[in-house]
Amino acid sequence: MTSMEETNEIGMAGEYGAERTTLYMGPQHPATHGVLQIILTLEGERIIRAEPVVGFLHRGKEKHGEHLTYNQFIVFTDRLDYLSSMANNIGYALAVEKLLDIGLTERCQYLRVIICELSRIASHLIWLGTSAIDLGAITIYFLTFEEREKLYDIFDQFSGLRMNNMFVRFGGLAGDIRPDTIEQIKSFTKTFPATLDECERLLTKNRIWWTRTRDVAVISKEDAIDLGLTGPNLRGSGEPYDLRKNVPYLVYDELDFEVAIGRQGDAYDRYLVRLEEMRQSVRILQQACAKLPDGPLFTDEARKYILPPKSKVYSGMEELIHQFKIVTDLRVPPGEVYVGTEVPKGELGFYIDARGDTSAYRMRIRSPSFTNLQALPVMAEGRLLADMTAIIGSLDFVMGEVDR
Amino acid sequence: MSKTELPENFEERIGAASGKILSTGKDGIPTARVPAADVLPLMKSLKAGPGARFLMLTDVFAVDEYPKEPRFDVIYHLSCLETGELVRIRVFAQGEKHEVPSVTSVYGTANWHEREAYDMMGITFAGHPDLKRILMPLEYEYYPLRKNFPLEGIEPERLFKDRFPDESIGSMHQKRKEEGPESP
Repeated sequence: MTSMEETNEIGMAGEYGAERTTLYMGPQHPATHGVLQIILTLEGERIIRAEPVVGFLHRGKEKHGEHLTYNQFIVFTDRLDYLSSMANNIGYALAVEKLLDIGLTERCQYLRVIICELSRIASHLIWLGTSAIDLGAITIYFLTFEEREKLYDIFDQFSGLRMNNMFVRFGGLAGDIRPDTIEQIKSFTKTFPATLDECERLLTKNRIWWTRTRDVAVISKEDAIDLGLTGPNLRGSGEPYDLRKNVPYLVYDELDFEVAIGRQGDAYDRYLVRLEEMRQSVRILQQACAKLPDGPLFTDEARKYILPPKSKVYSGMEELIHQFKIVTDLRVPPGEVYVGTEVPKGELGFYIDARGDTSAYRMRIRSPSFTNLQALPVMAEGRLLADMTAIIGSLDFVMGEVDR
Repeated sequence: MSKTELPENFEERIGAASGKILSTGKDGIPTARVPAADVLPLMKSLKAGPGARFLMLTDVFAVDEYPKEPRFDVIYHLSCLETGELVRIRVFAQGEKHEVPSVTSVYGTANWHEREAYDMMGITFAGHPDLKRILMPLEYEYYPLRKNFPLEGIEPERLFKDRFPDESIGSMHQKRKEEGPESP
């Protein structure tokens, strides 16, 4: 054991025969996808230990959640995982709706599923583009960002914003989605698989992509469960755990889709899982658009929590009071609730301890990226420094969600 | 909530850990309160014991009940991957140092979650391999999610003074305030 202890000293020759050095990667490194710092202990190019340092983007969202009103906090959920902001909105809204005990109309649920899946594709497209560019495949970036542009145009059409849309309200959505936007989504689902095929042609059997990702960043099923990985990172290791299937919310149980799983849990498997997930999202979108029922967006009980039209606020006393009550005095009945939803990165959970006030007593955000990042030291150990970009890319985390 | 809705063997296992089943919240998640000393054996039996197996620890966090005593309520969410069932275990932190045994030896994922609870609330997880701050700077002195910590934060004066020894921006600001709005 003494020889092992000796090798732990910086500057001593270690098991790979090279001197030990410490390398600080980030927080300003382009491949870390945000402000992540990784302290690497290296022997030559071999990684002995990797320690992620997080918190550079900590904004105290949980503290804010205890001081802002429930409606004000929706906008904060946008900035968790800013690549799929509307999926976060929906997770939070579902938790508050459970506390308020309001139901959703069929149409609203279908529209929310459509929004969730569009967000999933948008998020996965950014992951595919950026993680490919990290490994030197620039073409993919242009292909994926072109498709993402189409998605952001769709977001722009119904929410008025490209990013951080804040489109979800308790009891429904900020507005209905027009039929022509639905047509646009339908035509997107027709053209998008061709681009996916194009990406697959460029990557899946690409010799360079194969050697850079195959057997890199391996995490076994047992380790993945032990480390609490969720989302594609867990499914890449072969565990078919998907909240859309296991704990169906909205109308996911009425839609036909499959859960993709990997075989051995390496970066290549996670790549395949995410690609398949995009295809399944397209399937869900097609079904949801076809099944989308007509009818009202809000239930009658939900109308209490939806702002009245502005024109009526200026002319009617009733509506003025209604708006004033929603903005300043929306009291949520006491109770505790935890709702987990399957966002592109994994299980996003909101635990709200409400005590009958206008803001939560405790707002806990269980973010998937934070938990997934814990697997990085396990994946990096014993790999080469050049694999670091592949590992970071394959984990697909967003620092806004890690640091909260 | 009726007994039939509880996960398999859940009641027995909670009973073995001298805990009691609490009434569930609005989310219908079975909740139990357990004394701090029995957390570790309970987690082991929930993970590997007979009945529904809760292989994944979804979350660990704390709720500050200030100014009530006991002050900190540590909450564990465990999920069963096969059925998607979730259970909630509540534990009061003990003593001066707000201590709770660490469950990192049972669930690896508890490592960062416990570090976060320590960082934000100041809960000491006994037996944690590397209990240090995770989101706030290592030299930070406060626990920001405690209820008696102000939303606007506390100026880290010591850090500030080191950086601007004499004419600190802070003191200039203070001077301007004292002199009133007319002064330059």
